[in-house]
Amino acid sequence: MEILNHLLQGAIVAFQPVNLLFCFIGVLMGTLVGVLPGLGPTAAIALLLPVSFHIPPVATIIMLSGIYYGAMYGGSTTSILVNMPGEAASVITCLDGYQMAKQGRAGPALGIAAFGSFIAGTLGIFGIVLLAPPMAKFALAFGPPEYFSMMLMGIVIIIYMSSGSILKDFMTAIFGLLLGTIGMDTIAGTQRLTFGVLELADGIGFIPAVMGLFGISEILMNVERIVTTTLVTEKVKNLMPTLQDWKDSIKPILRGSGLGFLIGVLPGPAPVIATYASYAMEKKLSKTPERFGTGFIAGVAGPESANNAASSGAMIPLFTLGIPANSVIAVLLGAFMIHGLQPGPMFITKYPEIFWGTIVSMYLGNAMLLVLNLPLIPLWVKVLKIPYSILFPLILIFCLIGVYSLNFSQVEIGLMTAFGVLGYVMRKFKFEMAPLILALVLGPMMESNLRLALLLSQGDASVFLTQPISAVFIGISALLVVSNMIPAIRKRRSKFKEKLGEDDV
Amino acid sequence: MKSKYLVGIVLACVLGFSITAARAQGAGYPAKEISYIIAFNPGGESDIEFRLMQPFFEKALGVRFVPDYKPAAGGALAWQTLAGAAPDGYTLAGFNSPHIITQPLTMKDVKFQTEDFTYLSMIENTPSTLVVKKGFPATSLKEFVDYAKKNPGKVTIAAVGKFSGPHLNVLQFMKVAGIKLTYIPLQGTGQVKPQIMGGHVDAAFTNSPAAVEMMGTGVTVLAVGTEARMKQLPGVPTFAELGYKIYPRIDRGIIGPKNLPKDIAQKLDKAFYAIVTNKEVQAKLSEAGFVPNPMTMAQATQYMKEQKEQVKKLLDEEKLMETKH
Repeated sequence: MEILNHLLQGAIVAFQPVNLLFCFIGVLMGTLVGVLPGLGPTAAIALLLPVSFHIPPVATIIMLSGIYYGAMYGGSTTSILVNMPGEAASVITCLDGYQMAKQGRAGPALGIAAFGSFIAGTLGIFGIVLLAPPMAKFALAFGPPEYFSMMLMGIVIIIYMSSGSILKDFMTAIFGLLLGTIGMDTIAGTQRLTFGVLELADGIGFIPAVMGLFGISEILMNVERIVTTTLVTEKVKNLMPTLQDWKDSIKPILRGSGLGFLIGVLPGPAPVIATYASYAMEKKLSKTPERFGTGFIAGVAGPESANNAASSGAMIPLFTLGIPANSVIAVLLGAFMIHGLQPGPMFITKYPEIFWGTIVSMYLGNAMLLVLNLPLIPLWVKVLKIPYSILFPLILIFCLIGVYSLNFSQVEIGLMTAFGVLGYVMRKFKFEMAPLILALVLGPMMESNLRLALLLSQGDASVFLTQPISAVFIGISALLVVSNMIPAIRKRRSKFKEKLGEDDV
Repeated sequence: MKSKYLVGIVLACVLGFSITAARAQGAGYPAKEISYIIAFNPGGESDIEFRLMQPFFEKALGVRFVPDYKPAAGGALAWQTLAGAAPDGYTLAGFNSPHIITQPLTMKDVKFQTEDFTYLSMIENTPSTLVVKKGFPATSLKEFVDYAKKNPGKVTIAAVGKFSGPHLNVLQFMKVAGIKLTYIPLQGTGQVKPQIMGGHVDAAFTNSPAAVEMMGTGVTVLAVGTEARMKQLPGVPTFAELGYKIYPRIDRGIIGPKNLPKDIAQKLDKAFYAIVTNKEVQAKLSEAGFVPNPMTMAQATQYMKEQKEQVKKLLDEEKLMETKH
């Protein structure tokens, strides 16, 4: 009953015309920056921060949150249409989404991404309302050993991502880990492999890598083709998901929502890990794992739901503990400070109207996003009809602007270009890009958490197994490795036996 | 005939330019917008500080102040950029100390020296606090020091970064208290908070806004690095009143490139000092969690000189400069 009262109080705040307006502005901006490659929610929120001086705190938080989850909605669009993730959490969507678009099924892919996001967003809000306090405790239970083990599991997941050669995937993953060592060694304070370039001190930026590997390389690939054609040569089939699509997607959406929400609560690049984990899980549970990577709708539905649920989950440590789960939330925290609001464990009791108002507005915002995005689908699909010669130079320009807008750094433009060439070569030799990205993100965090854990335990490596949460992750990782090896071993043994049998004769 | 005109036009142009240049140097300053480099991300403390003061800057000097974000390498990129900028008063930057002192001493890629700037003003500081986790067997600074003396190297203390301001604070505290703690370098206050609240580290040196936020979660704030007690932290003593003469904190101010023309530097000094001593500005800064600490150009220059000597001595004693990392 108390919750109903709170929600009612929140609704009163959220339905005020001015708050409705700022919610709409927020989700609209979010969709836009999500769709434009490279222009991420962090940049958009930072750009709008000065505006927030002049509007009330509730409206500020509502608008900035809207940008955040709106960007998660929009991010999938370019992944699906032109194989270019709008932001990091949509990398995985490229795998099946782009294949679907090539088969003329961009409509259903966009549709399921929007519906999946809506369902996940809705479930995520219920999650916040019902589970905020226990989930906050869950987030605090993660120390360096737990993070290390979780990231180890992330690396192991790469095996399951693989749709081609596992060996090649491992090669790219290890290359990604190596790239991750560039920059300041955060434990010793030493600079590694920076060659005197200060811009590299913080490591290789994630966005330039993603944009280069996926975006620029896609453009390079297409330059080779005949310029008069359009991206999708086949006829665009239906625009909305069919009944079969729904059957394939509904379970991945629900599972992705749960998984995304759980992982989203943890500080770190949660939405990214959530999408990879969801994809791997769906592939593992699926009766037809071979369809993943070929344009299977479940490969879009799961991760797209997961990243939206993760963005809801990330609100929990912000509101209950004052801990920013990622860089976007950190800018939101800055907005609190500008308004003299004290984040922390007392936030919800001190400013109930802001907390509940924001929660209800998130629900409204999710509904707005669905209404906003569904009519856009036919329009987006038409983008595919634009000739290469016009579309790709435009994308290239957006990529350049997007990357530059992140840190206003020319070095990052150079990095993006270099990754573009790397991506082109990798495509030519049939290497997957996703393992490299995941390793590049996880590598530095995995390393620093390993070393922090050992510093804390005075060098005793058994902490990874004696800490229960960490032990569970290590256990899952081991199971994943073993379960993947058994079929291979069996095959070999049977071959070996056959051979023995032949020898007997 | 034509060439004559051309010469005339060229001459006129050159003359015109030199007049504008002369005006920009002298009394006409500032004649165009001023670019203000911010060394950290939008929404961070340095950005918030600038945003609060921006309208006052613009009113006092009559031109726009345009923020230019250059976040990389803990601020070093921004300051290196400023060190190479033209000393014409149209490029300024916010700076943090001791960052601007430790970076040239400990980072091999850093090309600037602490002396490469004109220290125009100090604005405010963010005091550091010493907090311990819930259930730690010490609830006062004295108990903490006693416990650490009995268990040398056993107590883990987290703070942001290596060779950073907070790291120096920890080193200084260990030296003054005569104790040995295991230092855990984390990345960002956002990481320090959950680690201390979750009890993964025993203690942490963290900025006072974070300490205020964590009140009520079971962590205990043992001491704060201000001269007088902070009203946001009721009942928390200062290090100094407990007999440890240290003031761990991060200072922030405004710098320009070295060799700023004297009249320009004076004009900025006067304008900035009026702003940082303005009651309304100070109230806004306090509300955002900062401690106003206004200084004139002369005071700021002297202060930074003293700070550098202290930091250098500390790094020397801890043998942290032997190999420039």
